[in-house]
Amino acid sequence: MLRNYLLIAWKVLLRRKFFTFISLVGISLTLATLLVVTAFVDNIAHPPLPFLKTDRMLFVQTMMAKGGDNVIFSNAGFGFHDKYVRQLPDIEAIAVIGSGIIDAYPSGQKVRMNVSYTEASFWHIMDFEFIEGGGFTEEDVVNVRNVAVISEETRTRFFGNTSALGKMLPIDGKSFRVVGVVKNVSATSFVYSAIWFPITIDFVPEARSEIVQGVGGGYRSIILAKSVNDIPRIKNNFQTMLSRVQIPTPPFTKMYGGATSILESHAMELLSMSDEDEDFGTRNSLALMIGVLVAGALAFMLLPAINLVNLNVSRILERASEIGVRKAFGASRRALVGQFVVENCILTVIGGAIGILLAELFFLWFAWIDFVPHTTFHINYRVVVYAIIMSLVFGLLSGVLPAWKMSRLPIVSSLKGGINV
Amino acid sequence: MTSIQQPNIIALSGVEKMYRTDKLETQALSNINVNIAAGEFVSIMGPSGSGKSTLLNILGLLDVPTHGSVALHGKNVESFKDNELAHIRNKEIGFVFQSFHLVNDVRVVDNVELPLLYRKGLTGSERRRMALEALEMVGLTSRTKHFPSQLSGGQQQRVAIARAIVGKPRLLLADEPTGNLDSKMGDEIMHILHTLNAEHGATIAMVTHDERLAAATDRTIRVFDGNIVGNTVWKNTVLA
Ligand SMILES: Nc1ncnc2c1ncn2[C@@H]1O[C@H](COP(=O)(O)OP(=O)(O)OP(=O)(O)O)[C@@H](O)[C@H]1O
Ligand SMILES: [Mg+2]
Repeated sequence: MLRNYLLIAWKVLLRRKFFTFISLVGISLTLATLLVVTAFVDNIAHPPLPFLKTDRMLFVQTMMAKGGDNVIFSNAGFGFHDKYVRQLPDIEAIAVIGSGIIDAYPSGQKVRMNVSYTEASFWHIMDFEFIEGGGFTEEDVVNVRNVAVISEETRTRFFGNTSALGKMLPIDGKSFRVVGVVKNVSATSFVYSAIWFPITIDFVPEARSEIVQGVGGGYRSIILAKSVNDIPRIKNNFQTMLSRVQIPTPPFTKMYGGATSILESHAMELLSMSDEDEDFGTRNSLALMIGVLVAGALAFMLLPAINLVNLNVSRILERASEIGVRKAFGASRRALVGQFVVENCILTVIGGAIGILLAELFFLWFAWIDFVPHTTFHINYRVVVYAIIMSLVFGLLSGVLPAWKMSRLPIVSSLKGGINV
Repeated sequence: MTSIQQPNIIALSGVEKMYRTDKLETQALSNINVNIAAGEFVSIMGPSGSGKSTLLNILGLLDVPTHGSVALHGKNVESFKDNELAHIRNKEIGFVFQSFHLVNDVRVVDNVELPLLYRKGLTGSERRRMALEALEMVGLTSRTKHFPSQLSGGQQQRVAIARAIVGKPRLLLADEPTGNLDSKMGDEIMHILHTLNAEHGATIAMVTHDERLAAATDRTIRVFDGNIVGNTVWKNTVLA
């Protein structure tokens, strides 16, 4: 039965070349666009190195502090991460991270660079690929040593393509000894940076005790749980801990936020920044984001689907005689709808395949113009699975309605309608 | 045994068919009462436009009358649901359309297989075998891989006949099945129909313009202007 459907579908597609071409253009462009978005999202949800232990990681990022009518959204002070987050049970490691932008002058030219200030545990939590050396140590941090880990790109900027290990990096009138060189990470990564310094390098005296972001600046932290199973408990404990936080700096009296997975963190960044509800950080932003993405994808498919419905109606009308014959010989309406939906899905799946190629081409071009530095997007097997799902949804969306309508035509009129075709 | 004593396979009583287009109303059939007994071979004659095809469509459950009732095996077909009707058409009824209505996108053998696609419990090779057998009966074994457009009118008609008989229907409705055939080929088709009728007990209603072919059936119903105007019984018995 299915073989028969496939056969006839193939013949019909070949015979109505223009229709097929127009449909495929529409379908493949639509799906290619969706696939590009999907690949971006997939890249966020399943980031490449240095994110290896992502499923055990929780991120403490933007927090909300309230007091009277005052609300701020910002990364918390170092003291919050140090005194409170670090004390949570079931944690294998935590790395507090501050970031900033500096101007450096490699070979005399000014370059703006993203830099990070972090703890030695950072190198344990993240799985950077070291080209040379390694991360700085706890000793380096405690003793405020002028050392730095740099990215490959930074090495090239300052030292050309030679080894940088042990060399001195001139920044802000100081000299930092390079202890490690890591492979470049994507500019979209949570831990994108050109240089990493020991966190203590950056400390102003107040920083150690600040809970809400103050003159010491804001910090994020990455928690590594001992096991994946501990994640829900850590999240709960984080909330309990929040209710006990003492904020010494008026007017703020209470903090809100959450320890969130990488995907939730991105969802929060995208969706909940400006909203002052007290479930900030704990509400299900992830479900909301997925909902928004799915709704967006459906909405985006709607117009091409309507278009395809129209094309389909005329295409199926041309085959009124065939429908009449099939009904006359005992095809049920379900069988007919099945046939036309299968045919349509073949079309959309072919469109999806072309869409994958288009999306991959787009990413090649993306990489070529270096749109997002150090990032290569690819259509991986997960995206292919999404592509198949989207193609089928698209096929159903655009196939069921015309097929159902057509299958309702009385047999005799169908046969008459087909005579002159 | 006489045909009259056989139970009716299909019976129309008081059937009217009205076609309405924007302004025009055509009364295609008026007050038709027809009983066809199981095992009968009936021919239908009448001038063009007299309502023969309309009658055949109603007998084949392809169309519904505007008034009156249709009973299949004594049961009013109005009581059947859509997919029950589909099932009945599939299992019991074969149709040869006046204008063939072959599916041009698929090969001859796939056209013949078409009714079997909607029958449960048949494997692909069984379907294929049955289709080839039916094509052999109509003398088209050498054209199975052709597409309908590559065949002559007469050959297309024979494909249509093969498709109608492939499922061994108990009721075969044929709208001028020999209309496009020379007399030799026409006789061969008639022979097939007579064999189906005599050996497989198929009930047949056939529209024809050929008085000679009509005389070879059990009975001829004459239609004029939507009315039945004559009923000639040629044979009183159904030969076994
Ligand atoms: N779908 C339709 N809409 C309107 N009128 C129709 C329709 N089908 C048939 N008619 C009319 O009904 C009448 C009977 O048509 P029918 O096709 O049954 O004639 P017929 O006896 O089969 O003729 P022929 O020998 O030419 O095939 C004709 O007047 C025809 O114009
Ligand atoms: Mg006719």
